[in-house]
Amino acid sequence: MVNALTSHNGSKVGLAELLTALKLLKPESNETLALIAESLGLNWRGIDALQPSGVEGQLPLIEDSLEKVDADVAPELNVSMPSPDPKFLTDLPAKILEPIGYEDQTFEILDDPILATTEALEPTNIDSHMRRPSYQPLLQDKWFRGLMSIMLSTLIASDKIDWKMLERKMIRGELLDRLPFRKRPTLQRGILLFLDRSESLQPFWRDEKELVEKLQRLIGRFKVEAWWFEVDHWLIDGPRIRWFSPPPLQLPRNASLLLVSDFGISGELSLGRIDLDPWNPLIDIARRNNCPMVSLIPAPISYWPNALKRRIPNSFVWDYDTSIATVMRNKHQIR
Amino acid sequence: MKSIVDYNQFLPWKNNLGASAVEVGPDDRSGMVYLHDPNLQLAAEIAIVTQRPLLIRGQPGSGKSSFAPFVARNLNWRYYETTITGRTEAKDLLWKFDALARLRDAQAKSDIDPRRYVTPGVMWWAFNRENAIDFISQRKSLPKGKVAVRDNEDEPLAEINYKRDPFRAVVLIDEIDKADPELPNDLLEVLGLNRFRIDELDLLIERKTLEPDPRKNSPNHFGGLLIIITTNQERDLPDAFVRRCVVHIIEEPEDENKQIERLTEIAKLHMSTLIESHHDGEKLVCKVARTHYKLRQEAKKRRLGREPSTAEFLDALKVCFRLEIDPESELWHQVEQNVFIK
Repeated sequence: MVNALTSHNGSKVGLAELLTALKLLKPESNETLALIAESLGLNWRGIDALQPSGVEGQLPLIEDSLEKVDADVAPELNVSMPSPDPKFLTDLPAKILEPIGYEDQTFEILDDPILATTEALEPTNIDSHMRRPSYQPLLQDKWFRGLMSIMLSTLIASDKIDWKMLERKMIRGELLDRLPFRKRPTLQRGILLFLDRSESLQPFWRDEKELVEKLQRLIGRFKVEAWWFEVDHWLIDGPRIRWFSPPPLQLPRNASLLLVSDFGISGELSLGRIDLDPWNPLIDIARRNNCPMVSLIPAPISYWPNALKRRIPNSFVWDYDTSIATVMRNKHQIR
Repeated sequence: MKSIVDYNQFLPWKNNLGASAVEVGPDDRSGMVYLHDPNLQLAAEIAIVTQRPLLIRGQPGSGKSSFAPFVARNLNWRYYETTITGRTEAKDLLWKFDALARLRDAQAKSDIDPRRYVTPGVMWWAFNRENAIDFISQRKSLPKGKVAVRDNEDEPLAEINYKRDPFRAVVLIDEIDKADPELPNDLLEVLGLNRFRIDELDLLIERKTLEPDPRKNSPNHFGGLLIIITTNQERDLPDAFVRRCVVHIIEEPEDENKQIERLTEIAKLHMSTLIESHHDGEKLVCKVARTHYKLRQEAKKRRLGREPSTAEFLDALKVCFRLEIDPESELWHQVEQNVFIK
């Protein structure tokens, strides 16, 4: 069961703790057992889940199962059950116990008149073929926290004295007006987001929204502020930023500013010549408020305009393959 | 969660309802009273027997933090607490190092035994109190073991802890969601291994191994350390951290009558004297509870993001009792503004 659960979703399951709790607390009903399991992050569906409907079986007593662990007869054999449907056998461990939070992927059958007239495919379960792919974030969930920490952390003084720097200053005979403290990275200053909502980024609108929500869950709703803009290419005096709701003149100083944009790369008008001028006001806002700027770009580096890396050194590809190692290699320490 | 009683309960749950009582504020840490919640009781017992931290989630003012001192008092275990801020590091829960004092003494070329500058943190006290006391004795150059328990001014909350079990403890780590996102992960190793190393001294501090009390009906039979961590859910905690905790969510009932009944019980626990001395105490409690419920529902409908809490209900009730304000009077609107809506 442990192996099946571990391979089922890769999570660590506290079976040892569950068994300890059951042995010491001795719950007398499956309901109480379920509550104990739930507190430990496990969904207990009980032996009932194994039995096809209409068949009565006898539940093994939890206490008996634990007390007779050394017995030569496994407790499950006390239950009189008919030969189980193979479907139940393959789902056996997952049906009894699985971590909370895991849910079968929900899917929608597309309501398409053409598909409705199509003959059923083999195997006959149409649902498995009509499954809408689940949402896949542009940055892998398992790396999201680490990526955001590395990209967006700013440095603040810790309470540890930087002894090496202190030594250096004392050796040079420099006057100490303040003690040098070691710096540590933090996200506590909050994150500011400038999100490009131009037409060229329409395939990524949902990703932008998800990014904001994930950052809010990571750092706290009140520490993430987002402003949306688009680049209007059809103005007489040239392309310009248009805010849906403009940011204030004064932003929280030293908070990281994340700019999500394609910088015109995927637009119809790019034609290989990308002018970064429309984005300059955003870079100016960051500089004026002393906010370190980071950009996420949904395009490979080979498509980036040459000037982009000069203007925003901490620019990263917004893509599934962007890993923590990649970011660490390419991050410029400008804080 | 449904209510359950059919298991081997061991956690006592006694409210201190002495006659000379009791007016206990909502954020009180005396541990005198706490409304009985069988599900929370079970969660605490699971945490004790499995040696996992108990993570309590809930809205601000729902009673998360008051539970820890209450459990400690009922178990007669020592109680330590720390409130997390945006600048807290994991190390702060283990020990503190006074770098400034060390530097000052170094400049004066005086004796700089590094132990002088290290102070045990709450987890050190909880893991191994004897070790913490010996360390402080050495630091003060006193003979080892000669520090009287009651004279140990360096022990947090010494005035209550000196009467309690010297080997067992409850630790409250309050509002962990306020910390830097890395802090919960930094704590994992300490909580998992039950030990930590003090960098400045290269000294290993390990949790004291206790012999379980042989009496099977005694809470001390099941464990000796309960770490209670609270979160207002302002942000997510790392999955790896949450999975290592026993999790309990404090939820307020949706049903109006159940919510009013619950608030009334809480009010009776916290301010029985005031209610009894008022000519219409119970009616007043009921009125304020109904108003509190309506304001909660309104806040939910308008998605204000923050609903009036149980703590604010108790504050409003105290105002009504002390200042003799009726919830149906004109003045009540002012109370609403100042206490609930803000």
